[in-house]
Amino acid sequence: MLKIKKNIAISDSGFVFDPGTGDSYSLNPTGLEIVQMIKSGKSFEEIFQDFATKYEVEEEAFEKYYYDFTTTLKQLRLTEPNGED
Amino acid sequence: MEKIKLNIALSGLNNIDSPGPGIPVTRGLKDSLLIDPKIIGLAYDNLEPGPYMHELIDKTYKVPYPSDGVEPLLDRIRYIHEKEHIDVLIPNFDSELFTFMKSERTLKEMGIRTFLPTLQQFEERHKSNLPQFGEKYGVKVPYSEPIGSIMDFRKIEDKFEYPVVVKGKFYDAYIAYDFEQVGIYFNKIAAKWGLPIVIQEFVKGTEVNVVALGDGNGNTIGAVPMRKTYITDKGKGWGGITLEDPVMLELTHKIISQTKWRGGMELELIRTSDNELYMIEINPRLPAWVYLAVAAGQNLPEALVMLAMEMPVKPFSHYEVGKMFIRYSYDMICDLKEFEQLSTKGEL
Repeated sequence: MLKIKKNIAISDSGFVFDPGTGDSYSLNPTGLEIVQMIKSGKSFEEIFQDFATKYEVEEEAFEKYYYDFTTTLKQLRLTEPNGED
Repeated sequence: MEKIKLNIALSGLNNIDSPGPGIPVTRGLKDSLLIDPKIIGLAYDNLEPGPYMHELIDKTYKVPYPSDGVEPLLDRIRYIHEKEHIDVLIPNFDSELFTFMKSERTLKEMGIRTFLPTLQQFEERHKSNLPQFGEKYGVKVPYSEPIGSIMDFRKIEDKFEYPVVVKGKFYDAYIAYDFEQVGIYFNKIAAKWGLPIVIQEFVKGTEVNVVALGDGNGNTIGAVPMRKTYITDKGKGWGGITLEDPVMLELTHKIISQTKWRGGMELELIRTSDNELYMIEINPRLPAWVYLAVAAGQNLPEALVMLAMEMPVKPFSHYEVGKMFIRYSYDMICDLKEFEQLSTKGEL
């Protein structure tokens, strides 16, 4: 399961800070929601179920955007190296 | 608790776009809860901003350049000491450290304390000795060789792959992409800082730095890692942020413990994409960004003065991660009378 690194700080405003590199990022509300769900240990299926009940979204489209997003998280080294989804 | 009144002389008042550490060190001392410092600035130039910053620098004296020789400098320090009763002297320039280290005993006899690296520590961390330093203490360093002429580089060119870094013995570093550029930078740096010039393997990665203080017995009194978030065209950090990096701290502790480092230091490191750390330089003094460490919870200038005064200092164990600095420029308005006084009388 994909895991956000423990030391990454995420504020309620969507500001993300990596204390190891000093880099910071801003998430939009959707990104923040997804990251918080990943952080709480939810799988892709669980996150999709949550989103499907709240928003009008097709699984195929959600899956594409979800993996695009998590690939970016991995590239930015915000996830544990051995964390997979 | 009553603060200890101390007269502290320090240099590095050139708070310009390539700043000396004098003003940040002073800010740390003025923030101290233990010391009530009178700051005596030692200036080399009439236009260094420090002498005119009266809220920080209490009195300034012009001093001769170290290149004028030890005696003229010591004569001037003697004169200043007679007037100001200096308790601690903090030289903040690489180029003057050798002279002050050589004069440590004389200064002590005069009643002036310093807290500087030993000559051996100073010499072995020199840029030209870095490969031997790395080997001796088990620290990864980029391959480098000192050269005395551009033809010297011709003879060893095969040992390097372009780009290479061309570095001065005290300051300045440029990335050269071919032999011609090496020649240009060689002449540029040699004209300013003299020989040798060091040619260093270029290691690709992110530059990270640590400011630290060693007590001379192998203990690290404090250490704060930082990444420059904004770098000027002169390669100076115009912004930075403290990092949580146990590996950098471990390396710092290792170097201080093995060398029994005495005094302030700045480690310049490159972190590669494979997360390996290469040490590219050790600066044997507190850096111009030291006030970030003070703001993050480690008043290293204060601790350095306490060590110089042989007072007990408890090592720092924490600092705030994510503390930032953003440097700025400011047009200070100065009175011509003050400029005249510093120019003609050498005192302000």
